[in-house]
Amino acid sequence: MRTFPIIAFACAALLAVPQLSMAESAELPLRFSASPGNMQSVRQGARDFMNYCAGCHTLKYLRYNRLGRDAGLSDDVLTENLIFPVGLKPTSHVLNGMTEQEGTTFFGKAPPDLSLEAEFRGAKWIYNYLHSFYLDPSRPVGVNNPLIPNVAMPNVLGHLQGWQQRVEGGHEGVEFKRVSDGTMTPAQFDSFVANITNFLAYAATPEHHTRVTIAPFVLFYLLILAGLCYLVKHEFWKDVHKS
Amino acid sequence: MGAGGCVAALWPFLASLSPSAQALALGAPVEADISKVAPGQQVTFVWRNQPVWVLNRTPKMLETLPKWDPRLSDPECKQNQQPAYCQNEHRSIKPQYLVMIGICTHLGCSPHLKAKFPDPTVQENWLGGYLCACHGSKYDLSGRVEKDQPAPLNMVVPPYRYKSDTVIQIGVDPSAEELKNLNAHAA
Amino acid sequence: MGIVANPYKTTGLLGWIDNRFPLTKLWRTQVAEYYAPKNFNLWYYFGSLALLVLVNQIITGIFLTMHYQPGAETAFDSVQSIMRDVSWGWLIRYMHAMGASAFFIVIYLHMFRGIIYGSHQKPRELIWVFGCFIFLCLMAEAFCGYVLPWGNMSYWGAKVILSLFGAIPFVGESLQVWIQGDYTPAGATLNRLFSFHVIALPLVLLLLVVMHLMALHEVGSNNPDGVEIHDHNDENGVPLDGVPFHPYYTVKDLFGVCVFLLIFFGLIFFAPTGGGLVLEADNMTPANPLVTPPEIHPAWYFGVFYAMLRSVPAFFDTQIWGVIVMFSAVVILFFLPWLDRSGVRSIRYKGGLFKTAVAIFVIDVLVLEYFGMQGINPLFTMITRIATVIYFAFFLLMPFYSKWDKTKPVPQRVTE
Repeated sequence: MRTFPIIAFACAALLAVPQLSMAESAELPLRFSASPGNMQSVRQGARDFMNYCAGCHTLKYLRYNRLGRDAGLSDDVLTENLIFPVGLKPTSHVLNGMTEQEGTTFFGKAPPDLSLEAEFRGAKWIYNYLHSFYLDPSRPVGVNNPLIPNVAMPNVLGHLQGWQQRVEGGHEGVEFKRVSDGTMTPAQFDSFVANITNFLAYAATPEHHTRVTIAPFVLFYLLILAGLCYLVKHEFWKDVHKS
Repeated sequence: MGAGGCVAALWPFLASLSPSAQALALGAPVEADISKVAPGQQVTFVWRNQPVWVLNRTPKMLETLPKWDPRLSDPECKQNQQPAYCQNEHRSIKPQYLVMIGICTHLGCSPHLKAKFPDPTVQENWLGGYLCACHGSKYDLSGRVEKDQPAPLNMVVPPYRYKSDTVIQIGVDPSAEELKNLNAHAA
Repeated sequence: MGIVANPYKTTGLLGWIDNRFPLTKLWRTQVAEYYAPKNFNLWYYFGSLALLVLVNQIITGIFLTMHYQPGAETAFDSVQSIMRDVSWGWLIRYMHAMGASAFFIVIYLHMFRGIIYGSHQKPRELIWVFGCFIFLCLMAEAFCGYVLPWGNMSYWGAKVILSLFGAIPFVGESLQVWIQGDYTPAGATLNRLFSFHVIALPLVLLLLVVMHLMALHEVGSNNPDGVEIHDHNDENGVPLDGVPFHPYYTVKDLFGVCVFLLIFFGLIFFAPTGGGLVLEADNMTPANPLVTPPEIHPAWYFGVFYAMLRSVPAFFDTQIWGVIVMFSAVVILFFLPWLDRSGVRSIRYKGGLFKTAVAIFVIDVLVLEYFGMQGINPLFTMITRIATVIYFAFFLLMPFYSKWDKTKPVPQRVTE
């Protein structure tokens, strides 16, 4: 077993690589770790998403009734509370956002589809992004964001969060100063954004729940099987090692 | 005889891999309205499925070009990477507007505009230019490549002509008459 | 002419088959009476695991092909449809994606095993050479597969790799257009890579695997002591240090399979993207020919070769040199059997010189892998240049240091 240390070293090195390459996330000061399996939060986030985001953004890979099935919402609840535009069915994808043409006309750039945003940019990025809008009169929509300089998106959550200005200094030269209160306390706003982010994390990986649910069964089965195989192997090899 | 027949039979298979008539049809010239490109700004147009940049260079940006010369691999643009009418320091018809295919000559990535300088994150004594993030090749604001980079050549300037003062056509050369006018201007 | 009764005297259905097809003969000679050394250690699990992963890739691949739609407009959407609309499609796709990474981990460890125990030495040169062809084929297969989801990393990965052909002087540009079937990677490119991925390369791969195993069973397996077990047979011609592959190694490998599957499914269930190494975040957005992802690097299993590619600067107006260096790094592996002049096979009986060389090589490969996945900076480039030189030095200097090495006496029989 003298080879064991070498393998252990190689495995440790392989595991270290992603850690090192992901270490540089300095521009995301707010800590957040998504829980796409927290269905209460996902339900609330879905509702808020439909109210605040779905007017412009689509989720072209997510079906309403898939969300319903995973979050425990019946078709009736979906139709009454989440499916706003006429003509969309519970089996439809979340497509009530703008068309690319409309988006380009209104904002100069079509609002992106957000189905995979939580995988593409990361949930932490979304959480930080929604917190980081600041007033900038030089921009057509009146706000800017350090995470997407010269962002085309207006700050639709500004009246909830309260408006803020950017001041020099602080983390990576980005620090904000509140200039007006919003309708939510900072703690309420944090959990509001957390819900939307969890919903988007769910929308990006809807299989998450099934995956982590079946995992213990599969792994337990394999563990037992490995144990049995070891015993069989041990039985067969007893004589070989004796000689 | 047999070998000849085999080669003849092989040919259709090999030829089937070359671009189809459909792919060839996409090579038509495109028009680009450059009136909305603000000074210092760069806008991307699509020609033959490749990014074509139009960079509106400010006088300050143009001033950096001669300073780059000693660092460049081909400052006089002797390599055939641009039409003859763009073989000059600014590599364009009008010095202000750079029209260029935004593809690194190394392995085909699209470089990023890093116009601000100094910028020690790019290079010590950076003068403003393009940086290809894939393999670190650096270009000036005319797309001329620095010496000893992975990329061997300057970026490609496509054929283009001014249809009017604000509209360019990418993919066609200026007419003979327009060329004559250009040369007259230059002289 | 009547049927000559088969020597195994099988009757019934089996007898009927054996008179027409060497079923019992194959089973006996290749499995039940194929004698393998009894002292295999941990390193010897990776051969059978490679076969397991190959089967995993073929089966999951067949099912993915039923739902995947090649084409620039449809590929990305159809992958999302597999992940969401197809029942259990997500599991099949994760198994295929994780399987690709697992394949390379297993193959790299398998190759390293060959190097340290001298499994490439006479008379096993062809096993090693076929193995190198398998590795080459696997790299092409992995590249084609990486392009199929047609995300933005797929697109730019394809562009960068296909541009390698464009670097060939004179003919490069037209060659690249011919290979791509278009002036830039496009639907035509995606479809031909799909064709290569699902039929052309797997056929070659399977053929090579069969040849690899046939060569192995012709000369017999090496072992951690590097002694020939067939030099010491009993009166029936059975090696004293050998055990029949079945049941001894079938049960042992089965245990290895279980442990492997535990790790494999553990990762699939709890880290299916492998922290961005197996499925990259930048590939979660459709191909965009206008915007290169901010940091472009290949899949982790090409990191070593990619680091070498970009460490070489262009000169004489061409960047072909980096491409040559990168391909040489693979090609040089083929010559290992003839570069190794050592009198002994196993590292156990080799001297300090060879052991030091192997240790440096391992560190060097890890360094190349690490920096191959990092961004550009002059210090990193300098480090990878040195590491590239060391990589080639390990092979090119091997005829000398393996000859000068003070080896220890090799025992007559295996030691465990």
